[in-house]
Amino acid sequence: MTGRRPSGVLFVLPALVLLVVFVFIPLVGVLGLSLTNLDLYSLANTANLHAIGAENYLHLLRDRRAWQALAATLAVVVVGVPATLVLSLISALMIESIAERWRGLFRTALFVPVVCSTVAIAIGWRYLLNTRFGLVNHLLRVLGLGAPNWLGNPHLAIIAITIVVVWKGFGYGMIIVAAARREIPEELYEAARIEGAGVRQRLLRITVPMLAPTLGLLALLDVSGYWQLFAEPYVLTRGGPLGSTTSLLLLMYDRGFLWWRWGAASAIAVVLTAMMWMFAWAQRHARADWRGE
Amino acid sequence: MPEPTGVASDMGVPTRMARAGAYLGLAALAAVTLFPLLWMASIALMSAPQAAAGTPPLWPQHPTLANIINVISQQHIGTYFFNSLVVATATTVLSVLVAGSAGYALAHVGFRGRRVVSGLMVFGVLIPTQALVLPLFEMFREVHLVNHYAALVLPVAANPVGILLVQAYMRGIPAEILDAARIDGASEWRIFRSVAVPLMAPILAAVSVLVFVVSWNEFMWPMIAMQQENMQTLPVALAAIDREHYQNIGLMAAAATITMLPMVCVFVASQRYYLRSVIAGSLTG
Repeated sequence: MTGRRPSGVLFVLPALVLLVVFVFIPLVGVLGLSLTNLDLYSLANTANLHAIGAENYLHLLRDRRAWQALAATLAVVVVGVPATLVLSLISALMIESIAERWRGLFRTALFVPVVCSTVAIAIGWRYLLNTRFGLVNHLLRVLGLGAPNWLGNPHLAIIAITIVVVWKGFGYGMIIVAAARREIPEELYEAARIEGAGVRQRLLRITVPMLAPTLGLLALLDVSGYWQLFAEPYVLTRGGPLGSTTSLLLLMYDRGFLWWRWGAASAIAVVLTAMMWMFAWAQRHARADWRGE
Repeated sequence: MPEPTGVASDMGVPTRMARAGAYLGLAALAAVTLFPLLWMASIALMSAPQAAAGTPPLWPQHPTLANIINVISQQHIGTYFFNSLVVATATTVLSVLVAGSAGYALAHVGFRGRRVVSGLMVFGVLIPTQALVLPLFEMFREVHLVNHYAALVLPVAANPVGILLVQAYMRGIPAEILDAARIDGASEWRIFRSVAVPLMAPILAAVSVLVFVVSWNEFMWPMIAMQQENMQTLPVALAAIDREHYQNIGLMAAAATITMLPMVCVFVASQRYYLRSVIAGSLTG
């Protein structure tokens, strides 16, 4: 036993060292940076570098572009996550209801966007959504629905980005929900049927509640992914028009690596992280409540 | 007639109709997910006038490799492809080693602080790593590793999700198997190598496909860390080519297809393992 203890630590040591150096230290680092005025001037001459307390955060509170980025990111999360969950759920239930030998084919087809580079996907969608030549508007014109300027209209652009995000993401949840659906004992449905429960009741009283923990976890995964929205607006709109699709992460990138305002950019990173943790915390609580019932 | 089962019976319509509806719904969804990808590949094979003619047609009239040759000879896509391959391969090998040993020890080797380490892994999953690129860039600049493959490999080599996946999988394997080897006097390292690794092979395969695909598609950090053009990975180079040539639809479609196609192939070929890691990953939460 005594000989075993040190070797157990040795097995986890590489993981631990890598995580500490490349995740935990930068996590503390970004918090530290956010309390300084580090920018191009103080980078050039460190005599100008000061700790400025919460000033970067106070600036954010009065910064219209930061609020706009928060609103844009929230919009994608608030609309995109439920949309993704619903599509994941519906497609999973459909997959589970068809003959076994066709499932693999549809599973592959619906999952493929998940493994594709977001940059490549976004380039493709930009052509699809082109106002004059895009196929989406071509179809809308055929249906007599006009030709909206998807990526040039501030209100539509954020919707377009949400569509692309959901399109790319729902296949992931589908796989997970389908696996969870298979775990629901068939006897539950039998019993409900004998007691005369209608089909709609069975869906709402058995399927959905039994899948709730899975859907809750998926919500957490989707939120943490969509909350870090970056490549889609970077390629599709470069944050425009009028900053309407600049996500928090894109704003952080611009301020940090275009303007070299590292202190200000780090404050955005900290806010982004803190808000994600708040959601994870809320989700854990919701899950605990549900289990407690 | 057998009792209808599954979703078909949840929907409130006769089974056969519900089933037909499910097929139709899935076919429609599959069309929506596949069409943009297939069309992009089709445009990549079109001649310049065809691709540029307003809305490009669905099918290339006279398929040509001109766009692909152009992307290779003018845009040096081969270099980026090579970089992506090196980075994704190195990341995969390293993370599988790291996750394999850590996940195994967390599940089956007693040591002090095991619960703390386990908790750190769960915490690690909840950290939005893309928010850490500023201090990360500063760190790599200090040690002169910006524009080196190491800058892309090291930060993601310890994958908390991968570690938790291996840990969860190994928990399902009875400790008696390993204890038998311990009683025989084998060293922990030997037990790991000749007993644990073969047992872990399926989950390690799953983790490796997962990591390979994620690493290949990584965008933000590689764009920051690889400022030298000849060190860029495919998605980073793709975005750079796009900034310059976005009007050349044929060229962009070719470059995008070359970026995506390898991962589609990897996914289709290793679906069994890949989907398992996706499912297992959701259970560790």
